[in-house]
Amino acid sequence: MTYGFLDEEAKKEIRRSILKAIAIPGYIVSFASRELPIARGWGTGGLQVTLAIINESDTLKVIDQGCDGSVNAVNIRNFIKSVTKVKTTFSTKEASIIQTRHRIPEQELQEGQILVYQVPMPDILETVEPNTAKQKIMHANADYSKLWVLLYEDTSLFGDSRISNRYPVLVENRYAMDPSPIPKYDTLKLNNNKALQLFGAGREKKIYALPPYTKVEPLKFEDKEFLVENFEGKVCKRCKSSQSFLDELYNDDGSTSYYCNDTDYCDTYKEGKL
Amino acid sequence: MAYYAIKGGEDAIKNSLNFYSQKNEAALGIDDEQIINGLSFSIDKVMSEGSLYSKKLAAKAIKRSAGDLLNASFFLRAHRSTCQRVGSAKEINVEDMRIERRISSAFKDIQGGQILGASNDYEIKLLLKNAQEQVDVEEFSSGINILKSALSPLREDNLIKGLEKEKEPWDITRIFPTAPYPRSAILQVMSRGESGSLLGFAYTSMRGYGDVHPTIGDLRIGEVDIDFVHPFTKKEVKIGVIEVTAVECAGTFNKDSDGETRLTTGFGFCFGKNESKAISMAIIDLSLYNDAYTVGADVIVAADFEMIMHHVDGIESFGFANHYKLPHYVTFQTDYQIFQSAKKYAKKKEEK
Repeated sequence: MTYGFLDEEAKKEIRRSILKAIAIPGYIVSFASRELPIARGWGTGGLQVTLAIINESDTLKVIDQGCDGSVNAVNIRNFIKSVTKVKTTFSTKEASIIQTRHRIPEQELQEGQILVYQVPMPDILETVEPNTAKQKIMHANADYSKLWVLLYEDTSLFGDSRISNRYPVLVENRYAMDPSPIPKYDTLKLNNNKALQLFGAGREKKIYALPPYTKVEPLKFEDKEFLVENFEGKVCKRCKSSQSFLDELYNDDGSTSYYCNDTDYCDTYKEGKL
Repeated sequence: MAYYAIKGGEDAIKNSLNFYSQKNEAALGIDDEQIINGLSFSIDKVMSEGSLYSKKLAAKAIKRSAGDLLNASFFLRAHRSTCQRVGSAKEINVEDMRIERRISSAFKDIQGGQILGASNDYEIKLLLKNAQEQVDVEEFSSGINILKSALSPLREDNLIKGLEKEKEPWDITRIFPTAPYPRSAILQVMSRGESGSLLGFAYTSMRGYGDVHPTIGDLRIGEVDIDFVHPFTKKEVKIGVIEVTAVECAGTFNKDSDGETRLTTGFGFCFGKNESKAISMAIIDLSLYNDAYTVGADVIVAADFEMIMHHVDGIESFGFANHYKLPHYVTFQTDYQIFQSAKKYAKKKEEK
């Protein structure tokens, strides 16, 4: 087996697609997308991106729903490790590549780090137009009126957009982009991020990217505030931080407790290293 | 406690996999040859959907997945990814097939005759073994049958609508096209598509969502040679023989590019003995490329390129459907919060 599972031809193709994606921030690039021994929809896009860029000097972190120990994160990390022999870590700070599903780490990322997102639906227009041929034309014309209409209708009916995660963002005032199903809480972290952000959708065979320091704004009306998830003064039961996205857990006696969703943040905060 | 519970993924996976292996250990004890010879339709389905022609590997995949055939196809696809590509074989002409079975429902009698071959079409589905009249197969011809498609005479008379031939066929495993999709790419997607998905889409067009009433012009099963130009000697060599199913079905008539009215046809092709799949594929091909007369085009799912191109691959659809089993507690939390604030908004509005 070749280094990183994929054959050299495949890796080259993926790297070319990544370079093109970086050159046009937010633009969706097609790629062949090989089948992997992990099921479609389980992170094969992010995985192919990671396998195409990783080398022996990298330190890898894999999270799923903010957690290094979650079943899918464990599975993906073990697979990558078995085909690359790279060093792995739970620490956000120490990682050179972080592959993630549904979260952006709480701790600010640094220059030189790469955040690889697993993406289920790469085109944000899918929420308003399922036909991929029409989506392409709408992007070409920067025609996002249907998204605006959806936002308007939701706002008039419910006071805010009904989109709770994978909230539409506008990249450098040009392309509307799907940030993958991260909470609205994480949306603002996309903007001006020091790290390179790469997005891979395996089943849909698309790659897109945000180079470091790219302007990324949520799609919103000028006179409306962009509201994110709010935990109303709750603190993490374990580390006592009030500055992180919290998971609500049901105890056996029916009561609820709150814990940091980002497990590395929780550990680091608890050790007083933040 | 709870916090540690969600961090225990590593052990949980190990235990679950061990448990799964134990439960399905008996499958691994089955001999490959038994599956290849005894469950040949399963082998063919897995090779076709897995997009890799290897009975031996298909048998292993079926064992590894304890008979879950879609999962077995997934094993083959994943293996296929690791195989280095040497090149493309020469085009196969299904009229060169050494026929095991060939029927046409369009004509009472055809050149070469109706060859039922080994078929369960007229089997009475009674689980209790019914007495079957024994016939001496020695009475039948064992000669090699190479026959033209039953629709070929019509094609030679220029009565069949043609579609533009692409110079080079697309390869969806190297570049997945964006719309408008070349026909070769759509045929490839269907040829390795999931049999049930294709059947479902084809079925919609048979019962009102489209006006295709297909007639099976030519359905054939048999062996074809795979020829390959040797990279060093540059000579054409036969590198193998595969069994395939090919179907040509006829629809109604449409205007051709030269303005003439001609009969429309659709084509289906796949690895192994997969008649329902090949028929479904031929029907979808027919509805994609030919106008319907009696119903609005917007309701014909089987004539929608987007619908077919993105929704018939079993490895993709079953993977995505199953991914909903993955933890989604962050996204659910966000949904819940949005729901709460919408509720508050509605209440406030009422109070006004």
